[in-house]
Amino acid sequence: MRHPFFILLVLVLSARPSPPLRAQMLVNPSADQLMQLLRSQPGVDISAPVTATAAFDPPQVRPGEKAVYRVVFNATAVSVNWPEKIPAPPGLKIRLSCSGQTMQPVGGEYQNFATFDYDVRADGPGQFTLPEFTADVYGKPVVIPAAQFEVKADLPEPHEPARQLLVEPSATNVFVGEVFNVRVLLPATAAGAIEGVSDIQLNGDGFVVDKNSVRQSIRPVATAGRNVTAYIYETSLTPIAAGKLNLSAQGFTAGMNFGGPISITGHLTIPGGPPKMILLDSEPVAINVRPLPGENKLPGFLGAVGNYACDPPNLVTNALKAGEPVQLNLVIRGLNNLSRVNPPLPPRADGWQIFPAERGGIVPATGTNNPGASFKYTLIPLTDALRATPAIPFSCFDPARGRFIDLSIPSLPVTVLAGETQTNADAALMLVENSAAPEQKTGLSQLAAAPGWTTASLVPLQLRGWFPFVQIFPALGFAGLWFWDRRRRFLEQHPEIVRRRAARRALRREQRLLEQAAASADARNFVRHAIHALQIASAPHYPAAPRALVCGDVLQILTAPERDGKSGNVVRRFFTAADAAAFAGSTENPAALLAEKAVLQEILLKLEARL
Amino acid sequence: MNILIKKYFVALGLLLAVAQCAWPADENHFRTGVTAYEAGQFDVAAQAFHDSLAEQTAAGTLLNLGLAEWQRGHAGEAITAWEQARWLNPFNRAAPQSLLYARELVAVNPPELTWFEEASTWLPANWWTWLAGVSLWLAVALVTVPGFLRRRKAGWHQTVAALALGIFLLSLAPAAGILTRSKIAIVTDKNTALRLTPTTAAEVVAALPPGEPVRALRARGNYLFVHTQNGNGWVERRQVQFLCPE
Repeated sequence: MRHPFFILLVLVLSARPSPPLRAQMLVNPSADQLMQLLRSQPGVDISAPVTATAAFDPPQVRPGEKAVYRVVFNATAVSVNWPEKIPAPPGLKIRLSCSGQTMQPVGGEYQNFATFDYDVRADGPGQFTLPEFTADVYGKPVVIPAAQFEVKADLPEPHEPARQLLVEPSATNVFVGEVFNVRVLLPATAAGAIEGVSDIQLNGDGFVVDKNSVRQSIRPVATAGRNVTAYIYETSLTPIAAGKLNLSAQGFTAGMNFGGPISITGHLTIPGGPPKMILLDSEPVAINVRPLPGENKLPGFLGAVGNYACDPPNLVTNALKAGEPVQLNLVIRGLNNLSRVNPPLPPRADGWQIFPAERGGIVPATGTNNPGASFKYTLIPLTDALRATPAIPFSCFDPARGRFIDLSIPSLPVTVLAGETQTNADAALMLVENSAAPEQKTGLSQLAAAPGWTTASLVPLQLRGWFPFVQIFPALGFAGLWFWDRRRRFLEQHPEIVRRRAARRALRREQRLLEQAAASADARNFVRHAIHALQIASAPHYPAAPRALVCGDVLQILTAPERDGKSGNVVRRFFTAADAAAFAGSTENPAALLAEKAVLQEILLKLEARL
Repeated sequence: MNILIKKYFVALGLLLAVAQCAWPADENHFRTGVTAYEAGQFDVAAQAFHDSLAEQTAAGTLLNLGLAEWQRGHAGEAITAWEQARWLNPFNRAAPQSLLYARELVAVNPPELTWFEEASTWLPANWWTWLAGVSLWLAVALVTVPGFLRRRKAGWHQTVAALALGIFLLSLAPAAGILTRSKIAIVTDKNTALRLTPTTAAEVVAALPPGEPVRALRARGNYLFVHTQNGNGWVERRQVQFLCPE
């Protein structure tokens, strides 16, 4: 039953119901209030184990009808390394249609949810199973469970198709830069329930979305030949590229959370409870964007596309003094895109210094006049010879007429008196500085005559792989020096270590010579090297020069049983033979001592072990 | 010791001579580019300068490449080349002059630099790093080596060590500035879309003109999340050129 009148409500609702706040933290009362506010907000839970759900929406459709295969992770969208292809069963046409991320309150904290939607259709009836597969989330594999899908030719009524958004542009044939409106609709369910849509994104290459002109409403609309109540999101788009561009929309169902003011008309049912935050998208709509004509472009065109007009310029006063600034006010009127209209650039005019325009805000519509954007120019006459302000070139492109329109600001008559603080000579000087100097300073430079400074790469040294290794070398050098110095100081305090080490080296050398003498049956040299070896092995214990040691000194190093036993006897025999040869002039061949080589080596081994 | 120092310098000279022979500077492409530019063949000139850069990156070649690209109407590529020339040799005033002119004409701002990034522009980019490295090791050597060599620490040892340490500390901030400046890129395509998410169908939040500087914050696939003077968003990697191409 239709009501004869509509009820207009304006609700201002908060964006989302906040979860219960965590216990307030103790904060310093003098701390920044913003910090207190931030600390009191619920945290974002990123520690929960990541899980995935997968389902077809709706699970049953007719052949050719659209269904949505939807995978939801409790993780951020950027953390999900979503595979390029998913294992679709044969007979199922599947295409990634959109993805998005939202944040929902869970257990006192917010949690991120990333959703991936696929457009699924099947030409014939059948039972389809999309098998389980994995995707990497935060670098770890997460299993996406299998999902069932059925296509039946004879579905029982009531049958509700997949919910989706509708995109309705106000124009589908526009010029580059021409602003047009777009409506995104979410019709009520078959049961008449309606809900809002949050995080709406308009997807498409080559459009700029005006977020400042967003309006929301719920009202009956005629769509697909029938009247339905729908949630409507309206905004303005500016195409910035020419060609056939596709425009689509996506957003999350948000229940009764509208995130801002909304106008509601008619009788309707808005279900309560927490929103389900289901990602929906729309079929793409083709927009034909034509480029602006290249010919007949007028001076002063700065990209203003639309039906614009300029009010007569208003000079604060036309009686000026040279050197004193004066303000010129300008209002550009139009229906769309006023906040983005660029003011005309000040011309370079002899005798005038003109500063770029300052934006003055939006002027409301009056009578038959459209609203307008106001601008203020500051002009300084530099000489008293001036009789009028310079004309400021400006033009726009009117898409309805398909041509450029001249909106140049005309010059205004002025009377300039000689300034009190500046002479005409000063003004002339300033004029020269303002006009001639910048031309020279800001031109392109000359060609370089030679390649000049070279480098192997523009990448900073710190980022090149070899650079840390180059820094390691001096560090290693200094570390080596330090260790060397430390060891040297240690050895200076413990000279016995040096002596013993030198003795071991000398002992090994004498043992080699001993072996050679024994091998060649040279008994005299054998005895001489044996004595040297015994002296060298005993010297560090005193300490003394090896040559200064006599038989008794060597015997002192041996243990008492060794000294009194065979070892001591052999040592004595060697020393006796050597002394006889050295002091008594004996020519007797000590060949018999060669037989004691094994005992001698045993003694030397013991002495070496005691070093 | 004097003989050792002489030997060191002789070895260093030989090394440099060998390096010079092993890496000959071929200026044929550069000369071809200059001739083509002067003849008004800017496409040929740009290609020749690109070829020259492929052989050796040089400040003068980058400057000339920028001029050729500017004449071809490629403002983004021109501004990138001039920024790279300034990166390599900030003492040459030609690149900043062209940058000033080009930015005025295409109405884009220079990159917003922090104080330590501003300081890093005073010297060629790699000088700061060498300065920091050499001054650090010089200070360490002057403090430690006399002790190792059992030499008495002279007053000049300590003075030079303190000076080197001061230079090291002062060069740290510009060296960090070099790192952060290396994340700056220049938009090259007209009406480059700054998107809300890193997908081709994502909502466009702003259109960036060629020459607009952006600062890359992170990357995902073929997209870069950038900070611009129009806000943050994602741009396609191929639509921007880094000052320090990898």
